[in-house]
Amino acid sequence: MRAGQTAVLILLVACLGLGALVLSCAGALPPVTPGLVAHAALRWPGIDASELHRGRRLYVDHCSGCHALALPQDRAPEAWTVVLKRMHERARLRPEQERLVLRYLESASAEAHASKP
Amino acid sequence: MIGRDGAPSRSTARNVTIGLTSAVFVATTLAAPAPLAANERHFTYTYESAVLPAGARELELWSTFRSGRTSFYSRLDQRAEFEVGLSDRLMTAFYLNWRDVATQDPATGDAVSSFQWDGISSEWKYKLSDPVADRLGAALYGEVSLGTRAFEIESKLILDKRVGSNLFAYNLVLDGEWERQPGGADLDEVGLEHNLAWTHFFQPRLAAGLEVRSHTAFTSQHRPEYSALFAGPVISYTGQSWWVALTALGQLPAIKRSVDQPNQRLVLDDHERVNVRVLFSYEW
Repeated sequence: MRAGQTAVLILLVACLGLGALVLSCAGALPPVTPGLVAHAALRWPGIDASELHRGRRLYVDHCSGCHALALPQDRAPEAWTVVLKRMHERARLRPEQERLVLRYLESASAEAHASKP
Repeated sequence: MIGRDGAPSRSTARNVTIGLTSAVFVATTLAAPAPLAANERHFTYTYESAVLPAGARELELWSTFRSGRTSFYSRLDQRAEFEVGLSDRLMTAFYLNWRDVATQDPATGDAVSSFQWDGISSEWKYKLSDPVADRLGAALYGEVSLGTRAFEIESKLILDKRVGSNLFAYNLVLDGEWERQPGGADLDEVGLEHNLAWTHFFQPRLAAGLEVRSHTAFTSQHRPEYSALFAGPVISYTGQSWWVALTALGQLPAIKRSVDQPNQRLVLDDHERVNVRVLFSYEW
């Protein structure tokens, strides 16, 4: 077997393994579930799923252009207020949008930390 | 690439390029009252699906050093890229391209260099999904380059995925180049590329990994001329208001040897032994 063909074979195997690994992973950013809405309602009574959906969408659209998205559970819920204070101008978030993003991130972080053993 | 046969005069081309680049710098500075957002890249040959946020602008400088063909060959490709985010999913960019090439004069054996203006390019990128929020990040990319002697169209399918501290990316690239002739434009070459990349984040700002690139060239009769293979390390670092990425690719034995040089294990008539690319970007 020629060296070029060996290289192709190795590449093919690597690609197949990589593809299987990548496709086996779901999106890591928590979706809006009834559990997440329930956590959000503890802090903001009356909040509904559509607000959290908008907050999640705004977070993806405004923040992923500059850097990979940090996961909500990577920080304590209260830490997200500090992060958004620092980043809102750069992310071009209006106050109303910033509020929605913060609600999504805090709720998702609170739910993740509450479910930890 | 465009303008393969050079510009009318080295000094004129150099002056035009410097003038245009300066104009872009000045215009960018004057037109940017708000701070810009940096669209981090972690690879230099492989694209990621991220697009600049709406209204954001960024300046990116490219340098690609290419060396080692059948005879002496040394080349530096330069690009200045001005990017603008048009919506949450769509961005565009404008490029100025030029190159400096040194080759061996077959008559005297001495090295001769030429400075070539390579024309302008327009890039459009549309993000379909996100590598963190969705199962797979994806984007569509199109680029048109225009020079005095030729024009080129390039399209890419971009896929990427963030898994923990690792980022994977794959690009499928199809490009066509037409050379202008007195009687019209002829399709000169069609290329197919596969770019595969992986990087690991040792800390949020510092990542290092591997890029692999294959390039297959087809003639206008759709016959493959060669299929070259490259691999090498990539490293990237993000500062407070800037980022830099560097890849050093070495050519591996060809998947398909060049039809013009069937005894060579490497494709050295149209590619080099070593390619080193640096991207540097900063916010205003």
